[in-house]
Amino acid sequence: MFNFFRPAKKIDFSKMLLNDLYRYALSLCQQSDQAYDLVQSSCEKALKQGTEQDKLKPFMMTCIRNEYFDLFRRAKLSLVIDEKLQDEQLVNEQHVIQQLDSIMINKQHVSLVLKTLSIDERELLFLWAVEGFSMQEIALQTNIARGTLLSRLSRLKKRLQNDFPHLVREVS
Amino acid sequence: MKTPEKNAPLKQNLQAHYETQCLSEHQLEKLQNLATDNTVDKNTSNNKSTMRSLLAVAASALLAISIYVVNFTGLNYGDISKEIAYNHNSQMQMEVFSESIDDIQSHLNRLGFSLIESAFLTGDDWEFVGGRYCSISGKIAAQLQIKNLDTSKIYTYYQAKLPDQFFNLIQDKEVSVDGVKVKMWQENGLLMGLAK
Repeated sequence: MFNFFRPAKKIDFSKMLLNDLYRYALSLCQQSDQAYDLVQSSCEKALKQGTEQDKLKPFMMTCIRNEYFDLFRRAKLSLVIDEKLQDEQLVNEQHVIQQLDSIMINKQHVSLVLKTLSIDERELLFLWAVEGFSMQEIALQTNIARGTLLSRLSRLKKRLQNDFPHLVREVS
Repeated sequence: MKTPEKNAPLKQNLQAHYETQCLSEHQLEKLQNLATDNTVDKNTSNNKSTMRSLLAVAASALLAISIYVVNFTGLNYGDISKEIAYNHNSQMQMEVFSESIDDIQSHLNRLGFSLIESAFLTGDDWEFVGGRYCSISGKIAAQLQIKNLDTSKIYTYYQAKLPDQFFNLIQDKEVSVDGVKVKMWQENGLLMGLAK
């Protein structure tokens, strides 16, 4: 009854927000229908939760991520690699970012390369390139240690150069 | 939108790649409508819950009034009718004998209310015999004797001031107590009783 006296929180899903979320979902699942479903589900959760407008995007991104990984885990038993074991060698963030920035690629080959990447790698690249997150922000968003993320990026860069020498070039 | 060059940094081309991925207008509209529908649903649900609450309050109020009416009006009927029947059977001596209600009234001057001639006992058929003080439910009342001219039967007739809280709540009632038929009703703010 007391809800009657409490004004309902007005939530506005702007086109820009929805498209950002869709792209993020797409970076995870790579299927437009599934990405749309993930966005819709996150909208429903935000409405149910009554999330404040300024916290909408991080909340919905977390919803999308959690839901996708739940679905993914159910659908497939994946080989879990303890990446911490591989992170013994400390990686310098600035160095890794510089290496990534130096990679030149043909626009037409981007989607081809993305298809060969793992979900974690695609998400990492999306948050870094499109959302413009720092490694610390990505660590907070994905709940993955910053060192692990840097190692992942470093390995990714090497793999791109090895797997796609004809598509990817490094500029000095 | 600036088209990225063919060979461009990975970051730039990733941005350009994702920029081309958009929801259709229909999908955007559908998702935006979720927020609108949710607000409407919440308002409707609030209205429904308010309506339900109001109905519950109304039902509770009705129940409380019913209990009040039953307890405060119903129970007195039993007590009062017993007192009336007892007084009737006692055949106590009248303090004043007169056919005039005014004479009886002037004698019973401590009643605190004026005796009335009931619309149900019209002057042509009925005649006052006399009256005395009595009490009904601890309140001072007039016990009158009245004669039916057609049958020559004597009835005991009571008038008492009705407490304010019972105003308009007393309904006509006829009960039989110890072989005495007692009829009760409300008239001009007085509780009237007739025993035969």
